[in-house]
Amino acid sequence: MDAKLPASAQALDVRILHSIPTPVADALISRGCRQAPDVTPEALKEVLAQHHVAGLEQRANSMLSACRQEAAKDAWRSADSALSLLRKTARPKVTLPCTGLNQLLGNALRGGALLEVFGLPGSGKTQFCLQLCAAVQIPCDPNISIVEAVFIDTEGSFVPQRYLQVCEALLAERRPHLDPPAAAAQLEAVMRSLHVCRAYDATELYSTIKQLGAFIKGRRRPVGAVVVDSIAFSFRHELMDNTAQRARVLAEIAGTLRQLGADHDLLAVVTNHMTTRFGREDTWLAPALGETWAHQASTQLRLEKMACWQQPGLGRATLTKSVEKAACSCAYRISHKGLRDDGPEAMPVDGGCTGLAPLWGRIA
Amino acid sequence: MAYTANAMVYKSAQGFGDLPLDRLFSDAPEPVLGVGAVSLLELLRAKRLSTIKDLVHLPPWELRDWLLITEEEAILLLRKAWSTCAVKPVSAWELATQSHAIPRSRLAPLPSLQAALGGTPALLEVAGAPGVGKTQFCLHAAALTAASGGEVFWLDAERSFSAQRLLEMLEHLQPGEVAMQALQRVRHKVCGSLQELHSIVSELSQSKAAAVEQPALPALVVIDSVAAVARRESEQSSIPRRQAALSSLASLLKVLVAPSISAEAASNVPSVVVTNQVMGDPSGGSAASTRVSLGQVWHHAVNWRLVLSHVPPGPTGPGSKEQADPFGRRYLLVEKSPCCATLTIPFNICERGLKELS
Repeated sequence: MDAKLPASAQALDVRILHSIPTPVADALISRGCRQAPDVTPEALKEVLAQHHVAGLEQRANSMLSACRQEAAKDAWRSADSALSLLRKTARPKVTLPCTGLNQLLGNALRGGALLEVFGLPGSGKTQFCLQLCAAVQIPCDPNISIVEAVFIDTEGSFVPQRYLQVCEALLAERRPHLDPPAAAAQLEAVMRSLHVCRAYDATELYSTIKQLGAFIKGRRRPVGAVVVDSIAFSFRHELMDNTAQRARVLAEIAGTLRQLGADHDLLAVVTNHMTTRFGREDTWLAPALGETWAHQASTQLRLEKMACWQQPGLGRATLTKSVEKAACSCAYRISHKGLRDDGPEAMPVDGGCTGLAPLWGRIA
Repeated sequence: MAYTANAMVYKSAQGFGDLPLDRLFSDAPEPVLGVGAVSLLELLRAKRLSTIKDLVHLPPWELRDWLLITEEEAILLLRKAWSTCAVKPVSAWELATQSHAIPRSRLAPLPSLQAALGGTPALLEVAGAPGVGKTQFCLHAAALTAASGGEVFWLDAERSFSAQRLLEMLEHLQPGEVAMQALQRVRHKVCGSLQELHSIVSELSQSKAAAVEQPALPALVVIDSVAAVARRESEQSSIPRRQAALSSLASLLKVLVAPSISAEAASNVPSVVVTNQVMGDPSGGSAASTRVSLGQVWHHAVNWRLVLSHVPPGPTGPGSKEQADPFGRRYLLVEKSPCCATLTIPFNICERGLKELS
């Protein structure tokens, strides 16, 4: 019942422990129990009795054991050294088929950090997310099997036929040795491993993200990425009166995504809108959701559509915030295959649409 | 993994977040973590939490301090609320096979556009300069839908609906008495303000959710035009409020066009066509450049944007009527789409409606 405290337990102040509620912590301090090792079962029971708590014994025991567990964690000795971190990140996990974007993003394509993609409407954010999911699901190395991914859609812009197109093109590039029946089976496996959640408002988005941890633990195959497209849509008309709560909800979402990324080694990507900011004389475009949200992402990528009427689908990606690289940009092209480099191959002006019709033979 | 069975059906506009708190604990009358369900509800109500949504957004440390439990136990309690509101994931394969199984809607007047749309119900925005043919596009789409047996709900903000012109188009499709019957399937309502539009659309989306009694949802909803109602609004209220109202309208429209999982309700999903205006762009380079109105928020919210123009698409944007081709040749540009590359279709307007030119 009374767990023995290890000798190296930390002398944490009682007020910062997660397991002790604030009123109880204040009462303990007034009794002289300032730090975690000082908390005795008798003092805890007295304090809880003062607050007229039902089920005193049980409550005191659970609180005490949680407090002991927290104090026994050794934060300093269990931390990784920077050298071991460097060795772990020497090889980025995910390779996009567009080499320019690979160079730009580099180590941002590893788990644990949040990547934010923003751009004007029609610049290709959803296409980028689809290409990223496909690249995560079909790894470059043919020995690794299909990886799962989660796509949270708040705008209704996920079209399954388009994802089918992108996956088919990527499979043809990365697994060229497969014969048609095997390729169709692989394609079906890839499509079955992408989990799409259609969230209609901010509450559903928040609850879904909070429950993702339990969902990911229950999957047999590893989950490689969680993509939210887009986080800004519901928040532009909900919680407008209470900006403090909006900032807190967004911070919670970002924190949970980062935690998922670190725990399960998966990519967390979020898409954002743009808004007009008004200065004294001029206006300019900036990412939506305010300054507080801008701190949450560790890497930010801006996508812009180049208004080029002879060659539609051309775009420019600029790295606006990054820990490792200076601001630089690269060009990409959106075609029926997905996002590729802006190469010398000529694209027909209105190509891409007729490609959808022959795919129906694969399904049903 | 505690997803409730209720999460199987796609959510209505109301959602589980707005339900009262006692729905959450009604199926677990035994004490939760040493706290009786009734006393827990009373405590939460005393702290002014009334709906499930309030509990979802409550920080765990606050619940820990109110109930005097550890933070992990508080998170366990909050998980009940989160799992009720969370969305159950569906695999992309299932979505693809479902959308393949539902009957295709044929509403686009131009064959290339129909091929690009693929037949799934969608939220389409049609924008263009005055007189380029936005209302003609909508009338033609309404005629095609009514002729194939579907109902059309026309929400009119510009008083530009013409029953005579619709009858003319219908008679080209199905002559005689059948055309008059098809005309009966088109319902017209005048809409004065953004508030009214909002309440009509939310009524439609709620009747879609009540799938028990088969609701007679229209196959096509036309809103002509959103810019007209939004402009009227901006005289009274501020721009951020108007943008928030537009964003919430777009969200309701998306709920309306969302595919439903159950097979019987799948054919009952309407398509929505919304028209928008263009306005002069003083910040653009050349004096003649124009852009679509209603701002960034609306532009982000729509999934499909079709821009009709008098001149071939180019850097100056959709031209004006004075620059139009003398033979009436106009252009439809698919500017924004979730699955189709940008596509330009030349067309002109004749008695039967829009006709594609090669």
